Amino acid sequence: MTDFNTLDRIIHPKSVAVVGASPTPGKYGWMYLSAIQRMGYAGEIYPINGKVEEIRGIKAYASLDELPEAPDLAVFTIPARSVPEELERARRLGVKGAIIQSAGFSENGAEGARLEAEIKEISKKGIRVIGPNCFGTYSPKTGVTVIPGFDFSREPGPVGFFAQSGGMTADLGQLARSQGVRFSAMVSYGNGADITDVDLLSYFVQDPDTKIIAAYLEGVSDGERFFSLLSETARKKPVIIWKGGTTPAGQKAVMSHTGSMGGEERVWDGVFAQTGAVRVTDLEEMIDTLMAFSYVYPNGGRRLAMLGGGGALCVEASDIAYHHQFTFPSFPEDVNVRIGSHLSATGSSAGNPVDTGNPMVPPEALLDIMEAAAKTGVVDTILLSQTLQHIHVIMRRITENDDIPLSTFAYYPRLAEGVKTLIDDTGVPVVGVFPKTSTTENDQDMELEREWRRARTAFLEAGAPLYPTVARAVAALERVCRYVEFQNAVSQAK
Amino acid sequence: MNDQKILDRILHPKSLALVGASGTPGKFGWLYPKAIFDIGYSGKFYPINPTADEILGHRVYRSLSELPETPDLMVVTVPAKYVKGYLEEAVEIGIPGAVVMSSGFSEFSPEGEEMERELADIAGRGIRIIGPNCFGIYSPKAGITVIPGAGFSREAGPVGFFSQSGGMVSDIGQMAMSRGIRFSAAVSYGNAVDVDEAVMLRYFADDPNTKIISAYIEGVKDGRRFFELLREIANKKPVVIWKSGLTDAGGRAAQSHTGSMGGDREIWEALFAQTGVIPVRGLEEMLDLLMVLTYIHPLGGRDIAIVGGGGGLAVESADLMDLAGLNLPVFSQETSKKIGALLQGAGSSPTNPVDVGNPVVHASTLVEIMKIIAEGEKVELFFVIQFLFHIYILFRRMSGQKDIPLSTFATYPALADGIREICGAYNLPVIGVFPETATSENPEEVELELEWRKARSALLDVGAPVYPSMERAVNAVSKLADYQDFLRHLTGKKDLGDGKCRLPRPLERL
Repeated sequence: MTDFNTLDRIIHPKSVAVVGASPTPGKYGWMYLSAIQRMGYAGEIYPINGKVEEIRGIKAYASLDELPEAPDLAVFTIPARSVPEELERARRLGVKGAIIQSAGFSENGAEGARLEAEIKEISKKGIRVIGPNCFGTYSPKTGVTVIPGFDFSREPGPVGFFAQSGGMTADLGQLARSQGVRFSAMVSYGNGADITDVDLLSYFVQDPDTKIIAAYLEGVSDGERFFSLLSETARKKPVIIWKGGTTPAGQKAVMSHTGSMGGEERVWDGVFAQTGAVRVTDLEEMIDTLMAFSYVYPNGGRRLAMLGGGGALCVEASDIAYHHQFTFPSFPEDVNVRIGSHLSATGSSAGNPVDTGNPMVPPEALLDIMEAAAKTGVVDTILLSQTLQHIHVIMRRITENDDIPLSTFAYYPRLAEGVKTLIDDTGVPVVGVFPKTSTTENDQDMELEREWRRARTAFLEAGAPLYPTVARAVAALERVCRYVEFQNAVSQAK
Repeated sequence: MNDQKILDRILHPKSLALVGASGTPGKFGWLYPKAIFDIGYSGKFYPINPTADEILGHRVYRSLSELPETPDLMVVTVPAKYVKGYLEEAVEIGIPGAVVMSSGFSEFSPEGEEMERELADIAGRGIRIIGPNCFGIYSPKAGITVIPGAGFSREAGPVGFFSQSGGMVSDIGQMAMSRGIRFSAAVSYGNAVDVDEAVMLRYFADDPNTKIISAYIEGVKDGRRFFELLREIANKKPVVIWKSGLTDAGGRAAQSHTGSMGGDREIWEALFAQTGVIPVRGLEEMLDLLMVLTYIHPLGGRDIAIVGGGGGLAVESADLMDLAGLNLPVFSQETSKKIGALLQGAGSSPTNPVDVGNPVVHASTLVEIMKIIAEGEKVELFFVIQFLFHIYILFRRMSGQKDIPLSTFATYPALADGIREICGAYNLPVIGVFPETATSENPEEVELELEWRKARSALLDVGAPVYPSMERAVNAVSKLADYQDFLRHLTGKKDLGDGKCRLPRPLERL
């Protein structure tokens, strides 16, 4: 197994050589360089290119052999057939870590497999390799990123992620930025010729910056080792796994994607049941779940207070929550009275779930209702669902002036501010749901979309995750609750 | 007049009286006429208000008896206790139908329950009542809409929708806009004192403009009758139902929402299975199904070819398909060879699912690949995955010109043209899967969102539904295939239609 420090140096290098760096926009060797520059990488960069003096303002070297020092990391974007020779050159120079982004190895037929075997041999002689056929690593603390990761967040955070697939890493990193999910590091390791799932799981469990571990896996290198490590890890930190390729059709696709073996659906069912690892089944679930873990964990519980606007939404939320084994505890009578005082007499309902009926309940009222619910002591989590979009549009209609920007009517800043106070004062987490209903390309809908995104940012800054549907919110929250219950059971067993 | 004709008149009124019309912006009695005029109502409008003289430019009448004619429909927004009096007057002058939006009836209190019983008595005397506690009717052909429905489509379409919940009609009407789903009518009937789920089901079953029936149901009054109707409709029109309140908690919420009873999960599931009803569990899923029913049915099937980028997605798709009972037929070597010649080698895969590897592959290449498959393989449906819309931003950066719009780099017009060709030449429908990854509030990503939406519209214009995730696309297609299998079994016919791809009219852009 790779020792922690070696991997840490690859993930947080002080100097990087880019073998295949290119001055031509669009080439991988150009994109990688421009991506880490954009991310603000402050270490030494050594572009290796035999034909030019300078790339993107940085002095280029004709060969690794000409470098003034052995860099912490060498990144390869050159064609597969040239990789073994250059990798060996780096090793001889004393480079300890490499990322091979080039494709054309075991995922691509016999000749590629032979090249990959050569890489494996070289790595055993003292240079650790991530890849080949990968997008590399992203680590905001250090300022390096995967090839298409030029727009990823610069803020570090609690999530450590690894995946064979570079595309998946790129998509998750991109998606995470706007959803308040931040990373200690992301690693795409492609065909996993050397460093693989077991090494990365072990790295992230030891890494003090990583509080939540997540992975997209197509196959595992050594099932038994992975399983025992996973079961040890999941007791310490939440591990969220999306396992792809569990069906026969999926396995076939895996073969041509990263050349690894999948594993059957029922085997993985067992793995999740036994280790306490949290299972997700697609990218959306992954990001939803990471958001919930980032903001709700280690709090959160199944006794919900639901605050819904619009009766059907309430019925839907109740159904969904019930399916996920949440409960809606009854409030004491005086709390019902306090809640009732904010609601219009007809079309609303003060019991739990609370149906605010009228979509235009002012934020102060919503906040007081939430506070009343939080202080009952019988509530673990508050689910706040409001039809934000309608409110804005209706309020503008009432003014009969379509030129007033919708942001004029935005009430989420006040609501988010109150939510922050509520969470700080009571410790009860709040999960927000603002359904998106108007999604055409016309100006008003685009304006609404912008408001929705701003509202999400405001909520995330207040410490509350925000989802577009009740179903997604509840499913994500349920995973947090299940994991918290697992951890409680483990600590009680001790 | 029979039920069908009366309801037809109520749903397509040529004249409408509004009891509780108001000159005060924000009141229901103000929002309602504003909404129907916005959506293009051109019939007669008679506001009733005891004090005002003019509302939104229309002459106000003091009472129903002053009206110059008997309107087709009366809409009521006054407080519960005044409703009865207006309804009695309406019966006297022969108004055939009323929408009672007012709440405060059986869902609220014992007194409300008593008042609701009185409305039921009145309904028996010759007026059909929709409501109380509802948002009313959206009917684009007639130009009327529910209160929050000013932004609904003006185009009529094949879907008939009914729901107790007014909020649900409001949400579905809104969400349907961008998904290219159009309605014959959508009716919210609230506490269902008279018009209920059975009446609406019957109406839409017999309505020639309605080809697809959908409903959100919290409870039914007469289970047996409803079931018999569903059985009767089973081989005529697809029926999509979201039945909520199937759990204790949901049932409780339903009770205080529209005062109806929920029912047992097992019973409903058995009922759906026997009558071929397509069950869904939320609004998103309902719309996902209405898209394939509108654009794909009776084509489609279980044999799918996937063409697109991003290997992880290919693995995910293959898994999802397998679990959902869909197939990815293996291509012949000849087909794979032809596809392989268009790809870059490393990082790509010419088998099903076709992974183009490089996300920068142009739409025309995707179309070429689809043509090769259509020529050489037996598939029933294409999924095109266009990944990494984000690449547009990279293109712009590489171009060095910050001010050119992202639409400069858009490949969806070429994709849409190609889909039209494939549809015409091979009668093979296409579904687009465009995962969204750039969702922050910065202007660049909002511009990208606009491109995403334009891409969806461009594909809908050529009859291709678009989904934001593979999971949702697979779910919709597999439920459609289940329904089609049910139909084949029921009718004994293998072919469900003429096998031709239909090209829809381009959608309105509001």
